[in-house]
Amino acid sequence: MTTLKSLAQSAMLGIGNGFTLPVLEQTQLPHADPAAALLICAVVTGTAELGGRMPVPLENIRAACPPESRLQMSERAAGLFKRVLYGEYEAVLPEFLQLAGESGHIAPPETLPALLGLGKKELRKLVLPVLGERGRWLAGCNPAWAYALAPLDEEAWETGQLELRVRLLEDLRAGMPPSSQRVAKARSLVQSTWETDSPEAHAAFVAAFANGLSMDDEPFLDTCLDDRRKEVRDAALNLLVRLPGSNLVARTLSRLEPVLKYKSKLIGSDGLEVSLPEKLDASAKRDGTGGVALRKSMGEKANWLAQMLASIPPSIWCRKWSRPPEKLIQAALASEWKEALLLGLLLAAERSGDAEWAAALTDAALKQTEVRKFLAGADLGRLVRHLPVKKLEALAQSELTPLINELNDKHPLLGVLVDYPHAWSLKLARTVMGSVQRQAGGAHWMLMRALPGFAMRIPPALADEFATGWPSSEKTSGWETWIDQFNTLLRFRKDIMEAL
Amino acid sequence: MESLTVSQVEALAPDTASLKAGQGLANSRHWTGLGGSNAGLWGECKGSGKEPYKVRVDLSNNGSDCSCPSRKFPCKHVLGLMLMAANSPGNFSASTSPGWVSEWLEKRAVRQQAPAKTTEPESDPAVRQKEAASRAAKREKLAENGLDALERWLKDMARQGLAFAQAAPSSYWDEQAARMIDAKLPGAARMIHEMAALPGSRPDWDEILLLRMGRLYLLAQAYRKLETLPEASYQDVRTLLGWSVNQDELLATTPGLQDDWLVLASQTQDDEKTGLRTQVNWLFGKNSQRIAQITNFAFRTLPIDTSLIPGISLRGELVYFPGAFPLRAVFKEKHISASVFEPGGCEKWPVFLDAYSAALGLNPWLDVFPAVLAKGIPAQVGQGWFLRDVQGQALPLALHFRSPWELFALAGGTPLTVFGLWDGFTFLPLTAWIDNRVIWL
Repeated sequence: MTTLKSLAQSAMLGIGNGFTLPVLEQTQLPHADPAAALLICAVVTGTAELGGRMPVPLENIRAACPPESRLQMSERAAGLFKRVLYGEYEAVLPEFLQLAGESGHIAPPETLPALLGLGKKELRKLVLPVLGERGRWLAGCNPAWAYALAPLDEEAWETGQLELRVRLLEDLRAGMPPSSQRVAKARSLVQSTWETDSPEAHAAFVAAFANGLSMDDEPFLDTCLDDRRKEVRDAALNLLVRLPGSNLVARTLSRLEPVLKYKSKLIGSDGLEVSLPEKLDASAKRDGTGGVALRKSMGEKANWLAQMLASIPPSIWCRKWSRPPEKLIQAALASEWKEALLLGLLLAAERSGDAEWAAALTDAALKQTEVRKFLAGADLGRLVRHLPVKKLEALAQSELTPLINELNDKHPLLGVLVDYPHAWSLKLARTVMGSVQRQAGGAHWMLMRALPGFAMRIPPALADEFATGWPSSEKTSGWETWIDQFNTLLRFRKDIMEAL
Repeated sequence: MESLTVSQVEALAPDTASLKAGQGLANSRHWTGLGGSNAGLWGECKGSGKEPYKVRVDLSNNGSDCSCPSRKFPCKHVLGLMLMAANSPGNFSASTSPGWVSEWLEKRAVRQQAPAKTTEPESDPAVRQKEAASRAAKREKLAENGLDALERWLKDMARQGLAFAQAAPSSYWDEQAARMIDAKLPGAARMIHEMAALPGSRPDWDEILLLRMGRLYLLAQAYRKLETLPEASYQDVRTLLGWSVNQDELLATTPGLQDDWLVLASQTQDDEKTGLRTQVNWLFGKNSQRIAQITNFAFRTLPIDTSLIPGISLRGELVYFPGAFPLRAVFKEKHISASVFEPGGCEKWPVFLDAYSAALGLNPWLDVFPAVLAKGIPAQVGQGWFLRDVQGQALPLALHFRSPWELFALAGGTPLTVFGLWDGFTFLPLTAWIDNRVIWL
């Protein structure tokens, strides 16, 4: 039978003379020229084929998705969500996902393929709650999205990809408060395959212990200090510092016993007396002292001191010497080894997530240039995430005075505000933005460029309030696009809040 | 005051730079004298110049005007004003429009009712007729020579083989297309350009190329017998080759079809070389249940019809261009209507394919057959995607369909309504309706 396919095959390498087509006789379209015959035959056959095409039977298809138990977003919210997901206000995506998850909404179904692609990486925890039944149904259709399938069982530990296994650990260890039975299960899973797992997996598993961390994990984490890979040792060390009762902390404390003494003075400020250690034993090296210097500018032994301090939750010193953090910081400043002391305390506060110490160190850095000399912006930047917003609010109120001490490029508070990764309070936003609006138009390049970042942290309810109050546009040349960006972004976040 | 949604305003933006700038301006601190009525929106935007720019929008068809010197259309000020109306309508006090707005709106309303007459210099009708006839004869002679060359070229290709065509440099196609332009046969030139893109583009490219060659050959042959063809086919052949239909005459002489026309989808194509932007809009009549295609052309940033936004419904009279299976149409008059609806569609694919077969019988050159398919369920078999009807019959989806997973996720294994284009081989979904939502794919 002549088909378009058979014609195309015979026409692939060209046709010679004497080419005849049976179908021509049927259609009574005689052509002496074989090329013309082929062309006419193609259109006749092709049209007949296209016109006679039938659908293909398709019997078994996947069962429909079960009904949703969570809410669909409003059409307005869905529209905003798509704009964010497809890159318009990318930075807002985590917040949007969080809000949608908390308010019990699921993502619009047509966005699920893109979302499942993103959720494989760092957004996973935020993506999973908004997937809904539809998202899990979809994940079952594509092996690349298997990570989103629920519920996970222990079989996933034996057979799953690394990301799936980490998710199983995190799930087992999650919960407020965590169930000790499930946490123990997670630990025993890790230990059951430790010998055969890759070093990359080891580091990822240890990091997962951050969820529901307790003294029960301590013996295992302490053995990780012997691991061949630095990533694994560092991950374990970071967690052990958060356990004040850990052997690591006890060992480091006893090592510091002869090194550090608190001296009260009747006149002038108290001091910390330091007698640096002469050498380190193998056990100290195992506990993270020695090795790569924290700062090359400090001497070797000063580095040891800072590293040892960094392994002890700083609240221990407050208890030991019955002094608040502020007092201890001043005492450290009176010492010859102030840089090592301050750096060690800062790293310790950061590792243990100590809010009180974070506030005291930030306060000292804001008020004393000498502290800023030792604790650079980048060091403080990592610390400020442990600041409760109320503390930052109090700092801003004491450091900013209208017309006398305003926020500008030279003000040390600017860096702290830029690095602060959490939502601002109403009072903090009003304090800071009042000052910014008074400064707008001035030659403060960094302040101007900080505006879009501020718009990510300010409570969206204030969008209308900050849309006004700026100096007139003649006075804010150069600032215009930044003010517009600020307003647009804050406005957009308000739209999201209202639409959900 | 009934204004557009944010995503509809975004669809109006000529480019992303204008949209970004418009978003920045969508804040009341840039504006004075903001106002709105049922007919329009207006405001004055502070710009770099001394005088603020006067911005006005006609809400009956989203037409707009701004006193700024920008060549973009709509400009960032118009976009800013419309975005602000979508986001915070509270900024627009309902009021009577100032003179510079109401005069403009009235002028537009008058123009809408009576399309501007083309003013031709008065001359003796007999002379004019004679001149026109001689022009037409000249063009026919040119076309005949061009079609002779086209037939030779097609037969040559058949003799040398499809593999030869696949290996041929782009000049092989471009030169032949250019000859068609010289012969005033732009339709044939377009078809050659489409053929050029086929070799290797899909597994069955050889069949499609051969079919296209046959269709073009048939078209050239049909032109020889033009006078013997029925009126509708006569029109099809001439239109396909590139004779344009006089739209004013068409509108004046043909009765229109009054209906609520839902814009189902819009496809925009930019030709990098010429800067020509082609916008193909697909419309569906609420009562007539008919589909119409409105094609607009514009150069890069110049205005294209701003009332044809997907999801919007237009009440008005539509006139179809003549043809055996009429699709292309033009509006006699129209205004934006609030009656947005979900189109009804065919539920059984064999019935749909019968309709296609009938259309192909009327017009064998039919490239795409637009259709609304109801109660379809997307499904994946191996690496291929299908749309299955309630009776388990399935149509393959186009290989170049970009969002099969999105369509699949949208349905979740339940039936949805899809508008798309059938090219005789596969179906290309463009729009989907489910759970009172509409999604452009």
